[in-house]
Amino acid sequence: MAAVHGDAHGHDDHHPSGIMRWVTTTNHKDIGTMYLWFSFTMFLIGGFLAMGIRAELYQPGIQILEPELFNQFTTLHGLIMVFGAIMPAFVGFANWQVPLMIGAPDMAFARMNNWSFWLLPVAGTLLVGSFFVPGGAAAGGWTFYPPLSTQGGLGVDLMIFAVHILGASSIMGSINIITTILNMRAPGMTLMKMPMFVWTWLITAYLLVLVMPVLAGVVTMLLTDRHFGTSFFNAAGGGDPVMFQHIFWFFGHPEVYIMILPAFGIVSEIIPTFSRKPLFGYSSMVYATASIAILSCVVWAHHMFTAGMPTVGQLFFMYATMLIAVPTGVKVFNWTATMWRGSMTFETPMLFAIGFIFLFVIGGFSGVICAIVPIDIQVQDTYYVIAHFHYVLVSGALFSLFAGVYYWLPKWTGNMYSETLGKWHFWLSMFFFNLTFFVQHFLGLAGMPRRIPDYNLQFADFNMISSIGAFGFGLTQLLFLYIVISCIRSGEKSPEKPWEGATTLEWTHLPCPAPYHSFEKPPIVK
Amino acid sequence: MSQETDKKRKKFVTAIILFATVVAIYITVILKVW
Repeated sequence: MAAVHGDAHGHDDHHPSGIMRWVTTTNHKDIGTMYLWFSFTMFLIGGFLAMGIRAELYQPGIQILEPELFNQFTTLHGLIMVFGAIMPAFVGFANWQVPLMIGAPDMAFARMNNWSFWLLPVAGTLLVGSFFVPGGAAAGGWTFYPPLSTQGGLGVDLMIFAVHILGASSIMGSINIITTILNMRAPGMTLMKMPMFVWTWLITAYLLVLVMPVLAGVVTMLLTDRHFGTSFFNAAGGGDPVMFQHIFWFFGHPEVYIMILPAFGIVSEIIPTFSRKPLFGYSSMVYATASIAILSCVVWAHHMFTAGMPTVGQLFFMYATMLIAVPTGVKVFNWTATMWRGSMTFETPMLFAIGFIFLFVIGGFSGVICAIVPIDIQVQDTYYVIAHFHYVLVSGALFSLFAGVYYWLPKWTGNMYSETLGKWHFWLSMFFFNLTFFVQHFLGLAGMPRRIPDYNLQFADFNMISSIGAFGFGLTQLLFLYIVISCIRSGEKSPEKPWEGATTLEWTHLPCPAPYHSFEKPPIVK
Repeated sequence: MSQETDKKRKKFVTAIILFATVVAIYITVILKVW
């Protein structure tokens, strides 16, 4: 480790202090930290909106939110969680971890990296601020289908502007990540020697480059329909609102995988570490990730089976969607096989990783069920779909983010988190998450529609259970905030290598915390 | 060409190709619906 310590102190470490350090920083660790704090802030705001939704649905009848405001809450909850919380959180992980894991000194374009981040607070402010403009925020759902989105007020314009900005940020971020991975790997680190987290991010970044301009195109057309007299999606002017849905979901379905592939990467790092075995079937994991990414681009219309399409189209999109279960199954098999006969221990990151596998598989199965056309036509726009995608995005993406934070906190801060509180966080999250969302399967199957602030009396009991679960889940995340802050401020000093089974470069070649400038001389990978 | 310059050129070329892809897809989507 002597060489490593030399690396830590050998650099003229001049950078501004105070707020200017964060405004002007080009350091990937600073920028990664800012991404993570920003996404957690947005997670709390999106979570507040979720609490509002569940409070309203606690009982039948209108309780605290008028229907118009309820619709704004559901719309902004989705937009903020997808674009403001989950995606920036994974970019934060990429910023911190990709250079450390490939032995690079920083991201390829450090100034662009700073710019990518600082666009986010602007977009976040526009989204949140849209609640306070005349007419309120966008209320047509996070998918902003026309004609609702072509008819809304100023809030829709702010949302369109915010989505443009977030898209630009994502595109710059993904170009940066691809360029870094392709050009700045340490000598000896061939593509097939890269850690799985890096592989998943490389593939995710390509997906972003492919689909973000599609989203940008569709929101630009929405904007011109609203203000410049075009009729791309206006049926009265010869346009086609269903075309919007096709284009949106050509972006929207790969977007789901943009939010889950890096999660696969994090879990693929944690499970081998705490099983003390190499990842089972590394190359099949790489090919499975690439297969999922490719297939994700040919399944978009399964979101629109009820919008009307030829039978042959329905069959194609149904079978193509089911096909995704194959590479996903390969991944689940490989994670399980990695654990098989391993010397497993169950620290908090491992608990969240195993929780991820259990619950993501449930979300995957309900996804295959939704892919079957006759069933989808029954459950379309019901709480069954809500339950399905929250199993994928909360117990999938969010649990993996928690796992990753606990796993890399010692590397980022130099301190250990409280293992006892971490385990409390996991078990409470596990309990309340299932309390919230498992019952929503039954609500959906019984026919309760989504995006409605009131409901029939027959749905009352399950809704009350779901709301209690949601309040518990929300409060549990404040415990997570406490754990992270107390780790940073007063956590026990981390050993040089807190996880004995870790094998990637950031654990084997760098101390804890990672120095401000790392790998100025690239390590040799054998 | 020094190794450093060559590396910078490669990074630049990668980024330009990716950026051109983004612009091409953006324009294609709008023209296709036009």
